[in-house]
Amino acid sequence: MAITFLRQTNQKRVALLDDDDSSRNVLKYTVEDSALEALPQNEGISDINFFLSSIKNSDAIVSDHHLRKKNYFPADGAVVCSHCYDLLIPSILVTKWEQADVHEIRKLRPKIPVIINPEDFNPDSLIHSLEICINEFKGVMIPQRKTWRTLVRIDDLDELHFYVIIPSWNPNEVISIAKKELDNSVAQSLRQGQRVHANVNIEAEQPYELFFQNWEI
Amino acid sequence: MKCNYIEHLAGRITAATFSHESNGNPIKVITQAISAIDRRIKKRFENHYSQFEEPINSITKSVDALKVLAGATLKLLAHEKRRTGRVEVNIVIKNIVKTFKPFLEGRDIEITTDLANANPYLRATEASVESIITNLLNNSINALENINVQRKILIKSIIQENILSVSVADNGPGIVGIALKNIWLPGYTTNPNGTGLGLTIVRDATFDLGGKVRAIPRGTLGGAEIIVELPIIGI
Repeated sequence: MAITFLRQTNQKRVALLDDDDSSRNVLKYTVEDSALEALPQNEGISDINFFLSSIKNSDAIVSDHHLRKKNYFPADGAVVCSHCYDLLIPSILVTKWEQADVHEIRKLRPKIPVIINPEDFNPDSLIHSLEICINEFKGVMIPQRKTWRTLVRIDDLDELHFYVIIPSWNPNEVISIAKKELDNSVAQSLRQGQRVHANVNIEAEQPYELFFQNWEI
Repeated sequence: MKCNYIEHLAGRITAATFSHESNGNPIKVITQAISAIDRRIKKRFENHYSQFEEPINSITKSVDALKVLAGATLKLLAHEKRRTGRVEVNIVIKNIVKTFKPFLEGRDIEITTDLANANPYLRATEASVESIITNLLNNSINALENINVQRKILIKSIIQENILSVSVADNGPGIVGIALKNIWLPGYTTNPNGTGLGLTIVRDATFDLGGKVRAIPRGTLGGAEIIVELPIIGI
């Protein structure tokens, strides 16, 4: 399958970030089997800005989310991917979706076009994901990522979370949003039972793929 | 009894910790490495692929079973499930069956559901309803361990006015070797590897939800059948 990267170089290079040696190796197999060159980041990095300046030599990046278990990287993979988005470098976050990760990642999700479960990471999904990123840089978003102004009802709340319902997405499913995901001013204004508007990607297939922007309080 | 609960809780926390770790890197690496081996053999040794197919499938199947075990523990402990709200019981049952399915297949257990044709719901935590169903399912799985005929479990839900009756039946040996009234007591079990807490948790969780629970030594499928009756607030 051919793919046209924004950067026109002969060798298409994919940088690989994972703090576990074995995990990094298996990412490499998939990249190699996609007829791309794998550039595993084997050394630990202490400065994210240094990494971002060096990553400009890569055509794409594949990263795990948890990079800080060892002394490998100073930020999470989601942060790296969101910076790469600003640099127009296609980036794919390969991570298992756990609820804690959803809360961590959702705020950055507008700048992370693709998140893949490691089990689904294979040459076909890699190429497809890169295409999604590149198309998004060209202004073409997949329907699941397009946001629409829609009604959000604050169904319940506790000390750390809001539990909201988005009737236009699924009137029966409650979505939890950690307060830390929201700007302080938004988090402090929301009340139980309140109906507000926000931009939400209501064609997302799974609850963990939803993200919220432009809250109107 | 309190001590038993604390030990049980500590066990669950430890299980969750190790589930989290095993569900992370080791399973991820095995899954992707075996996929790479499969792809590369298909591409480079196409004519000899049949020699590799069976061992590759064996590894894949075993890893899938590991994922179920690790994933199920984590799912059951999710924070959202401990929040009180609308809980749709049929959906909880369907999700549990889906989670357990590969595990049941690995034990040659055929599971059938016969759920009420509506959407009965109550106000509770999802975790409390899940703990009832999973403990009953677990009980049936253990009861079927030494059965040499086709092993079967049936989960049924029926609505009678404002009560949802959920039964879990199996074709195991039934309730034998223990007095019926004692099966709910903590520590009482005929399974040498059991904690004896499963049915105690079922009873307490059911009472907490304002419901009732009873057992039939030889029920619908010939083995034990536990029936939980829960008050619902809508369908």
